[in-house]
Amino acid sequence: MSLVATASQTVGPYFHIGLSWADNAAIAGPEVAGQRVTIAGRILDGDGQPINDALIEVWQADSQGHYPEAGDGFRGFGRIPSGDDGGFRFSTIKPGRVAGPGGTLQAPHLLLSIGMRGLLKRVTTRMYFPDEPANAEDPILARVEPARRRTLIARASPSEPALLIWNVIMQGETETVFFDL
Amino acid sequence: MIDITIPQIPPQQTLALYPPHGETLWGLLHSRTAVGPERPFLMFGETCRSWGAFRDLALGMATILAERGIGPADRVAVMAANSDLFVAVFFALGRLGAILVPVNPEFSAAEAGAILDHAEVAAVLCTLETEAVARLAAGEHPWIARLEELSEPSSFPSPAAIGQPDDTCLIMYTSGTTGFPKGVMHRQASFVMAGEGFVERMRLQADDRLLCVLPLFHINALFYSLGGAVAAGASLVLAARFSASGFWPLAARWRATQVNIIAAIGTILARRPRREFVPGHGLVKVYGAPVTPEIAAIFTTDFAIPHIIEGYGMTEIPGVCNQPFDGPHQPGSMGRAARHPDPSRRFAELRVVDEDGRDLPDGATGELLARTPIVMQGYYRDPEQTAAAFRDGWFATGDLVRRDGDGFYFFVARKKDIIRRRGENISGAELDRVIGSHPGVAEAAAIAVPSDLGEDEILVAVVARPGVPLHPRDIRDWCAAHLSPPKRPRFLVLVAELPHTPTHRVAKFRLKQEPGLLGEAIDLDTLPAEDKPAPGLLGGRSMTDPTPYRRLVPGTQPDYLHRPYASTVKRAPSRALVLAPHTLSELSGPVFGPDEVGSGESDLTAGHAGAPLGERLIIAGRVVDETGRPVRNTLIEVWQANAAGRYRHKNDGHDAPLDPNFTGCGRMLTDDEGGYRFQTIRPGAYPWRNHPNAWRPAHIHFSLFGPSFLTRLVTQMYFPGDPLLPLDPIFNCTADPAARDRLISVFDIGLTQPDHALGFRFDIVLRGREATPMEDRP
Repeated sequence: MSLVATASQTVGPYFHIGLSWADNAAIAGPEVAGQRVTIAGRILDGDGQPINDALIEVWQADSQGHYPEAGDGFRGFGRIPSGDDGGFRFSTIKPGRVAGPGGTLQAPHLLLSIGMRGLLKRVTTRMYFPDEPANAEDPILARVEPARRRTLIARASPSEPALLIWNVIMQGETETVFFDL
Repeated sequence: MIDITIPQIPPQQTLALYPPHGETLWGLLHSRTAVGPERPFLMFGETCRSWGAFRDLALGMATILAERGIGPADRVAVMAANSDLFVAVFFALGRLGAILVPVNPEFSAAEAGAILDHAEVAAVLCTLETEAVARLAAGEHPWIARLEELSEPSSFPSPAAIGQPDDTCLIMYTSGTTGFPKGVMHRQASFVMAGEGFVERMRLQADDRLLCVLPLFHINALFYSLGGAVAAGASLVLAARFSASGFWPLAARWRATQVNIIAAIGTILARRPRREFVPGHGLVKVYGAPVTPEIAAIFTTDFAIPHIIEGYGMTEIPGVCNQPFDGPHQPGSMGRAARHPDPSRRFAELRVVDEDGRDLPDGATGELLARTPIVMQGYYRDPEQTAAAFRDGWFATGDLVRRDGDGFYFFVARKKDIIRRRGENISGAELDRVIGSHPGVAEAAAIAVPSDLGEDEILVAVVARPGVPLHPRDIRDWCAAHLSPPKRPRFLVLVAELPHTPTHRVAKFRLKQEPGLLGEAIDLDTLPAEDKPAPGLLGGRSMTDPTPYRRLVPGTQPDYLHRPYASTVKRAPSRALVLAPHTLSELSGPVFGPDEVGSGESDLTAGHAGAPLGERLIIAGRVVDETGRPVRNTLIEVWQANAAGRYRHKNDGHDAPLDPNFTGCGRMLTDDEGGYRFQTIRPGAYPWRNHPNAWRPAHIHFSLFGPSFLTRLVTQMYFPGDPLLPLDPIFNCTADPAARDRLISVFDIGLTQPDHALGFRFDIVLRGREATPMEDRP
């Protein structure tokens, strides 16, 4: 049997009505083991204007590199709407390394799915961590042309040690790398 | 609904309605006009001409042509799109015993000039659009005039009707799939007989209206549509040219009953948005040369046309076989040898022969030879090619066919379109069809190119469907799935367009002459690493890696940039997405349990002091994956506007009232069968600022997770029959009309609760995994 997947449609500007019950900017509570990080950034359009109606969803492994399953205390899922200034902020733990294709290991990363008014289907991207030696051998980063890899790697905040800055640029010269999955 | 029980007068009786015609053009026109000069004959633009008015027009044109010295055997080129004047001048020339030389109005001066020179034309008749090119092409000698100049009054005496049955009436230069066009000569009697043959073929009736969207410079339009209409004393609805969006409105406007199509037109109409379709059009008969069974099925079911008749002919031998109108039908066949309405008349005879001209038994593939009274007189000024076209009086078609035990013929390939590879004879046409059926491909043409091994390699030139990203690997994988190894093309060239003959066939001979084609080609056997699945991924995965998901079918999902939806312009990614494998990260996903989803949350009408305003609805359906397996226990979230079209959201500025008893959000988990169900009220349509007077059709937003990050889906459900759907840029963002239509829920009386609420069904398909090696086994 072979069916065709249902077409995507935009999440629209009013998704908060149906989705905000599961807003979760604290992906890992205090009971979850791991190195605490906060990630903050802004999401901007092709003119550099802030996008105040984006829905950002995060999926990540635990600190041991295991993806949570039903019943685990840690769900590994975050849902964060962008604010009026296009800003978003969430806290979590740094995930461990996960198996990659063909026996490789991936560098620690978050998977992100972003929808908004004006996006007829979501974009998917990844966020990697700064100063992480494993980035050099990550099989997915390796598929990205070197000049664009930095759009996927967060920066450490100069003022706050546990804060990482990572912006999402939807369009243009400095456009964030999005993946065809 | 269309009444398919049209009265059927047998073809022989239809022809017997009219006085004898003497097998000439003018005789035929005179015969059909005599019975009722006031009856409608030719509809073009906003004008409908009666038989009498048309005859007078043609006579007037003959008068001016005669005044200009045009007489028997003079060649007169007509370089024009279809028009009533074009049709009339054909009969005017026939009256004079002169010869029509139609020239494609889109030809360049060089292309047209080659034909005008070869035919040594006495005059070139053109239109405002073609006049400049015609003047360049014609040089100094011939008389050049616009067709409308021939419809002016003249004081010159009307010339006598002197055209004879054996006088040449047409030199039609075949677009040729071989090289330089050849001028196919036909007699006046050929036109008359071809028209009568078409009466038999399509059971034409005097009150039929034949819609002609094909060009009159091709034999199909001239000999079948025009010839058939005149022979039956029926009407002709003439389009200047084929327009996909205008096809159904034109058919409906004039209540056309019959139309001739070619494969390309069938495919285009089948793929067009159904909103362009006009239900209740009057078409009941389609002649296709050819139509695939798939296209025929769409015409029968979607377009409700009961008679789809396939046939076959060439410019040299028009209409030599066809599916019998009253059956039996053999899908995919060219039909049986054509017959004349008068069964005592000798008509088309067919043979299938081997290389040495020996007759082959049923089932064997060989070249089709044809003998028919409508055969061409020869190629103009080309005795060598004429001689080469015949074998002992039989015309050699150059087409490989086979015949079954019931006398049905099946097209196998053009002889010249056979590619020899690894000892196999491979039909280029088959590859065109298979590769062309990839949803991301608009058109494909396979040709042989020389290989290092001395045999042919296959190169396929592909035109992607607009707005659909197409990777070389998509073609490679499609071929691997649908073609045996020797048939899989080695080389791929992505082109903006393919060269065409004027009848919309791919001009492969021109493709083969394209310099540098092979240089631009991508070698699919050694795709660059970026495009080739890494070891352990996708196609070449190892047993230890998890099974990836299928790639989404191109065209069935929206593109990011969709200009009619203005917000996409600054938000759509502008750089190419990076193709990534499916790792554990993508193949896993968050899980939501029953404790997080209260049972009352599937009733959007509950939870407030009173009931919300609006029409109560039950919405239910199943969530399955692409392999048809139910997606169990997965979270569905829904949200919507209230009955007045207002969202309970701080940014919604629409001045429709809020409903204190309606929030507009709900959620639920699917059951073990993937089923879900919730109660709500019908949302209202609402205005938005996308464009002037923009309104969103009523819709409910759906958000689903499925088992992994890859299956996450946000979509919208629409309601059947909503008049705003054709106008909505969001609904219409997906290229594939079938994919769009699947977003429209279906009214379900079984789901409808008596005295309570209407039921609508909306099934959802999430992405599914590739077949695992286990599942490949029988």
